[in-house]
Amino acid sequence: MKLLEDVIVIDFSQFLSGPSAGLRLADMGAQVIKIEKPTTGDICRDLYVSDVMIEGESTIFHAINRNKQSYSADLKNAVDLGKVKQLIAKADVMIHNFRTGVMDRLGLDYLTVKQINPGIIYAEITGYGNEGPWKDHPGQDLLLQSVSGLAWLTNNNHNMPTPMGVAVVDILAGAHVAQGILATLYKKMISGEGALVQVSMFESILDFQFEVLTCFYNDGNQLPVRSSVNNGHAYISAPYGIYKTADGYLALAMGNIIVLADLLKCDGLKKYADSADWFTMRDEIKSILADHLVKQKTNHWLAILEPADIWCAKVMNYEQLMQEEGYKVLEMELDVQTSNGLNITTTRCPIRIDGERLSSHIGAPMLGEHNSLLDRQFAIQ
Amino acid sequence: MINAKIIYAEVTGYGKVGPWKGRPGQDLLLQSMSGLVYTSGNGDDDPVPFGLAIADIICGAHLVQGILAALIRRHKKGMGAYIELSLLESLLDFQFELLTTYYANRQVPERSLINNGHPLLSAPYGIYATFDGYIAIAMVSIENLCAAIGCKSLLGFTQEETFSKRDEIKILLSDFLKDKPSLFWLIKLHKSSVWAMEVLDWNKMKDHEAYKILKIEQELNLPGGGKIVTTRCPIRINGERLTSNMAAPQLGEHNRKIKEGLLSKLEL
Repeated sequence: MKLLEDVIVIDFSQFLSGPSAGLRLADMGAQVIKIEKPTTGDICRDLYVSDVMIEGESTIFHAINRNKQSYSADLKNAVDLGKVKQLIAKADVMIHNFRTGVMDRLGLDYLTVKQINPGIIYAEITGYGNEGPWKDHPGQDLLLQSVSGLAWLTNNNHNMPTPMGVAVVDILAGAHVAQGILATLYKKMISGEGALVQVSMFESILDFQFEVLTCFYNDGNQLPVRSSVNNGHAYISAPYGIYKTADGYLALAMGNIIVLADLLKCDGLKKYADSADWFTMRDEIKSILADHLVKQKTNHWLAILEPADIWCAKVMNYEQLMQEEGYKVLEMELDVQTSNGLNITTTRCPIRIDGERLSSHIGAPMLGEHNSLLDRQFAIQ
Repeated sequence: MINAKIIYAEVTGYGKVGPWKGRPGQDLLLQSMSGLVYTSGNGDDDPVPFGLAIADIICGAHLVQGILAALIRRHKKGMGAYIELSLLESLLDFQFELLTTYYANRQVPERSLINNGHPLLSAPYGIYATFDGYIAIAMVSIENLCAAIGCKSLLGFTQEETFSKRDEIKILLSDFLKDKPSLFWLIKLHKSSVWAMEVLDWNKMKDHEAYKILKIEQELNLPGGGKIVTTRCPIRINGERLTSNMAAPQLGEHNRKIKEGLLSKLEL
């Protein structure tokens, strides 16, 4: 039996944060119903990235929304709103990521919804919370990375603030809201009570920085300093970072500099015998190491370092990764098919349950594809 | 055999089969092997890792999801569960948008030459230097951007060219923005509802009302009587922030309590 069988989720959210939570719930067996605006639907349907389309459709929309159903409804139309409220009455969970005030105006705020369905788990994601000077600002990934100090942690010190090149705020906020939903669903099973679950992208991205922020709070508000070369983490000593070799790149995690000096025959490192220097003099150490590692090919270094149990790896792009047996054995790729026959390869859920990979082959829904099916399932008037 | 209803949760680096099963599951190495280091930084930069332990954190989040969902099933059906995660699978899942795009076009994602914000996104998406700091500009049509800031040199580009010519656009834009202060641009951008914000460091963020109102900091009581400040859980339940002043335990601190409580009950 799937973990979330019989759990019904009504998902009003768009883009990535909320929908990524819905995706995970669907992976684990929940029935996830996207409520979408007629004609246009989830804005993500038209968000084309990298000029890539699969038969005119957005690749990322299909990645985010596979294995879900679509119910199109105009929430400003009383008849449609009435139908959606009937769906809500039978749901276990609803999710939205509208800006502050939108659900109040639609009459779908928590207090109103609670009257329709007292046991519902009502989950919302905002950008900056429902109060304060930024409450009406858009909750957009790059902007959250920028206001939260996150952009000062990646890349070398002389570089501009550097955003992380994946929508990390959206994805973490989605993961947090999924956790809140699941924990309150569990509580609901015991007590019968519903709950309001609130996550803001701002709090999620601060939580992501909890280790380094805790340093900052307790060491007199010293700002992080990225290393000048080969930065891997602003708070970690040399050699932590990525190094150029004669034919590619090598990653080196935490390691003993003197041991490395011997193994790599890098005499310049021998004078750094005091491990305290590995942090304070990391720029110097990394520069010496970088000048040395560039002289030989990646495999040359790996052949020395791996047998000695030094934490190291060859740096790979997607093309290189996918030729590796270590990638293939994961069987991470998932083929899904939409109801109109479109085939898309995406990734599956990373969680394995009872030794099984979770891999549904159902693609993303067409806009409004499930209206009549759901009208019947829930006897919508 | 000891506990048939247990939820058994396990994290590995690379899974339990295959050539990498014995390798150290370390964050930077996982970032380096999974292609992630080619998403941040600019086109000419070396691979740039995320400056935080993203593989560890995202995998931990997935593990919690699996455990909680299994608890729900256990409550309904009385069955335990075996939950497996690997750092590599979690980090691939994290890149699912990029990977799905790669599977479709088989082109390794390319970072823009300057001001890269996300390898799949068009200009102007990125962080730009101003006269006195930095601002971030997210998705906006070239037409609205030109109208908001009055940058005539961008008028020749069509919306269709914002990906294929993003380097040219970003070069012109960064040149245009660099001579005036951040606030000058932000007022114009916000007036036109363009998605833009100032880039802050933690000190500036901490002074901002929008940060203070979150009340994200909490104090923990250390065993020696001291205090340490850290962040609280980002999730609010029924309008309440989840806080606790309990610090991390000292090694073995609770042995006796557990023995007297839980274990003595079992012995009975």
